Amino acid sequence: MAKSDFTKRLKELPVNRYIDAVLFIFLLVFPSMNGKYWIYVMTGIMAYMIFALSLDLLWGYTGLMSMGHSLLFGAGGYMVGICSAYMNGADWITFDHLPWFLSPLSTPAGAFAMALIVPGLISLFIGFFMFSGRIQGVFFSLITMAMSGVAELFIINQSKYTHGNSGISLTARTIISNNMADHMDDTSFYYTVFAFLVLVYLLCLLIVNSRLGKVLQAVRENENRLTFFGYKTSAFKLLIYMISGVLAGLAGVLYARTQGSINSSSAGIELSTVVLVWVAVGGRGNLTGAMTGTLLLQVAETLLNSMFSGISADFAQYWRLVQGIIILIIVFFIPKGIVGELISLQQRKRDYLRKEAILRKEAEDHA
Amino acid sequence: MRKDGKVLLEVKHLSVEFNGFKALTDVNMKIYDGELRVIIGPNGAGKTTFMDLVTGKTTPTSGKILFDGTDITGKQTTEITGRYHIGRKFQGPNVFDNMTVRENIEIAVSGYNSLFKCCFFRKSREYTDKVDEILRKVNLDDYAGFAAGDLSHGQRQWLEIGMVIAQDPKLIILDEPTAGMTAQETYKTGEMIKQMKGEHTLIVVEHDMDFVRQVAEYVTVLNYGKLLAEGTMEEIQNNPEVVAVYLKEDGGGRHV
Repeated sequence: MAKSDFTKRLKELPVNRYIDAVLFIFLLVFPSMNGKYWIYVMTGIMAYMIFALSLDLLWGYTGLMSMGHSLLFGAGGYMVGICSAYMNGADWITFDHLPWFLSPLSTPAGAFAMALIVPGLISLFIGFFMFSGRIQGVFFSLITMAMSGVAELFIINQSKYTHGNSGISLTARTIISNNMADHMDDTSFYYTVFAFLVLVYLLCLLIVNSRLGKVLQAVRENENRLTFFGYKTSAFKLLIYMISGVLAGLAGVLYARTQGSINSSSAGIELSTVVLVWVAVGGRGNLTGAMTGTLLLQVAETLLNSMFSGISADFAQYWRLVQGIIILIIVFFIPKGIVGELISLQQRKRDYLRKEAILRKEAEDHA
Repeated sequence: MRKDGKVLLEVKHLSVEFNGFKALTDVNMKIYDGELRVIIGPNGAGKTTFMDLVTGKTTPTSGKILFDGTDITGKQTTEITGRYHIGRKFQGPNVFDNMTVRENIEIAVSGYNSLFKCCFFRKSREYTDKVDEILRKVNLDDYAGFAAGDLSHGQRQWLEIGMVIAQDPKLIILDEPTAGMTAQETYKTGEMIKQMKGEHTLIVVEHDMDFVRQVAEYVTVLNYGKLLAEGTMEEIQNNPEVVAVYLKEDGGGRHV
């Protein structure tokens, strides 16, 4: 009885949960089939996947299209970056003590905590003014985009702590340590990031399937109607913006640790736009789309980049043109995104079967 | 009709003016607990204005609205729906299109709408039963898994009625519930409303006279913002004043 119930529930799962399973199995066996370079590339992609998931919670589920999400990603990365540079005594550091508001950065654990808290506080701060001021739709997008632009300039200008344009090099492949001796080999770091990705994915799944997640979707669908039911929508939006901010910060830390460096473009408009494209190509509002979109486009980017560099050095920059065309084609022909389209195909088929069953039942009732 | 019952909604000398246009003039009405009241009247008679006043969308120029003994005149819409539990279904469906029918009802179920409760919400047996029962009441139990956007127009109206019921309102206001429905859907809606009577107190505003005849037991007729007549369906049908107004306004083609 219990077993058949389980298989029934398994069959009722939307198609994207199967894609998720395949994706995670693929990521699990990936290091055993690839060399050091690809393991390193894929670790970065997984950090980006976490970033895309955090945006999907906000954009795909709640309908808040943040065009400046990398502000939070960069804030996370810079926290561990400053800590690492300070502890390892980088040559550009001219100050003796961190200012009081950055004092937790004097320990690696403190820096990791700050990398989650600071993006959370930034989103709380921005969100509070936006949502209590009833800023909606495209205005939310534009303001977040401007914030991201400002953040990039701010980082460049505050070179005393951020090393300006040059960015910061930090201890790579560690989580809570800035000692070179503690750094992991590529494969173990890969699996550490993988574990974070799985955890974040499960957290997102928990959120979107809870009542909270349903309310967030209702915010996306019809916010005014929801207010009528007595929901204080601004509180819900603020909470999800904060959660999304914390996750983006985590992604920033993992990415900086993979690369061993962080620079101002990590907080800038370019990355903010690129992550929107990943989520749009994969499909919004189903988590799978955010991850697959990131994976496909990032792998394509890496391949195209090396292919074009192989042809001739002058030609190297044109891979972006090809990538742009691919993205345009996908967005034009399947506006729901790759995974979104698959889900709606499955939904249509299910609806058709269900409708048939209902009509058959009604016909029997009449007979 | 329980004349001796508890008065749930009482309207006293209610008037409202929009830039000199008198939308309602000195309307008095009493609605009893558990009653099904139908309000009819030609276009522009002030039916929708009356609903707007009761739900706080418009503030009256003069007069009083008493709900369950409390004065709710001029209170905010959110307060009236949230605290006094007056649920209103608007003209035209207003649902969450990309969510399933069941999810739509679940969102509307009252008592779980604070942020804290939503974060730590666990489905209880009672809760699931309640949602199932509402789905049955509005004829949508077979459609629970469909996206609300894929329903027919009539079904979306029912879903909207279900969402109003889910809020446990003390008073349900249905503004033209059969607008745009097929004859069969209209009939089903009528049966649905008849079953709701007794459990809920209802005010129904409607145009469709066949439908009114199907459900109405006590009818209020408005005309040019004034209360023209009140009585049982039979009394109304035999009221010469109503017949004159209604037939004239209706183009003379239909009988009350």
